[in-house]
Amino acid sequence: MSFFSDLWDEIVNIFSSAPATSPVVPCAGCGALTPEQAQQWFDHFKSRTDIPWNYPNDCCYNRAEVMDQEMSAAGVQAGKVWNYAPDISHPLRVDTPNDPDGFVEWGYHVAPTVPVMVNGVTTPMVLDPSIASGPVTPQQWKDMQSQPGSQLVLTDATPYYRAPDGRVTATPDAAQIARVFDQHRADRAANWAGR
Amino acid sequence: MIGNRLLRLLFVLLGMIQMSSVPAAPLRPADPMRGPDFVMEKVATWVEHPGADSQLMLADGSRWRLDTHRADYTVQATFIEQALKSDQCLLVSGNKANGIIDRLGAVRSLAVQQVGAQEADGLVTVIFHGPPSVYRVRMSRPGAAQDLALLRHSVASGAFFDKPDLLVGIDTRAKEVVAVKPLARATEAASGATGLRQAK
Repeated sequence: MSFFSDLWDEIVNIFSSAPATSPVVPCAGCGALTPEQAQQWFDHFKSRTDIPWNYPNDCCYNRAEVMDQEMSAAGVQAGKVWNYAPDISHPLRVDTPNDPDGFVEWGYHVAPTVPVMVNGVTTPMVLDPSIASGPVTPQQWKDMQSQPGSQLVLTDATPYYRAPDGRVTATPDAAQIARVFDQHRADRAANWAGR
Repeated sequence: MIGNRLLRLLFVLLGMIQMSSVPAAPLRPADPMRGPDFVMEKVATWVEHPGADSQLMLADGSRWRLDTHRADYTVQATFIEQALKSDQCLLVSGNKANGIIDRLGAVRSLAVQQVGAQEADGLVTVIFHGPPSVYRVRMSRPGAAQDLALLRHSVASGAFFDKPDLLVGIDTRAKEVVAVKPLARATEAASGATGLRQAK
């Protein structure tokens, strides 16, 4: 029994992408993270299997919310960045293997931001494992969505949903957030036929 | 001690070799919903029959069957379980005449942010408050004109993410809106649903 339990621990240690310790160590006195800490947060979220990263069609507002909640609880000054398509005829577009058509089109997209200190300057960096492989600047994140005319808006972590006109919605309870994830996991499964 | 660690490592390496020799079967895109009927109602009863068709009755009295042998049976049944658990309507794509279910989906309470003009291919683009994806209404679908009127009314009504005014059925595979109902009317119509689940 002990052999298998030790073996399991060994396997977990070898393959886990989760950080060995909490990446929550904000820069003393400035509240900013180091680039390494930002990457650790990114890796931590990407390894969370309860978040449907493989359903880019929907869920960004729910994903951003749970990431911000966890970072805020850990003392990180997390915020959100919103990217809005200029109009309905010119949506944001991201190529992705996670959609049967090979791409998704959005009216808007949202992801969490964290302050990162680089060369003595604090810059917001976007954590969005649904489309990026690591922390990126808001401009890099915008460029990934292939719509030069889109509009970036940075906010604090508060809005659960923010319309292009600035109207916002308060965060629902944890049960509702979990239901949204469940629904999107089901949608994702239904979009792909069996093996 | 060292021998024990080496043994564990060997065990893990053998497992990796074994796993890598089994090619991962690629998923293929599901087919879009075929209809021809698209119904949004609460679940009245859901009776699973292992080895035979499972029986679904909706609050409007319509009866449907889901083939337990289909490869995506579990995926489809998940939507029924979620509709029962959350006491929400279910989207059924299928043939009312013979009760055969084509596909199932979730029904969403939504408000419309923007509706585009009709394009040359007969599609009208819609963006909702909340879901980021761009969806389309295929105007050749029966009932599409009425659905479009409801979608346009939602924009004008000032409905919002936390104050939705529509129940919307979306084929997430095709990214098409396939059914629309005013939320108030749908809620009244479904008030008699029992949400009873049975299993045999």
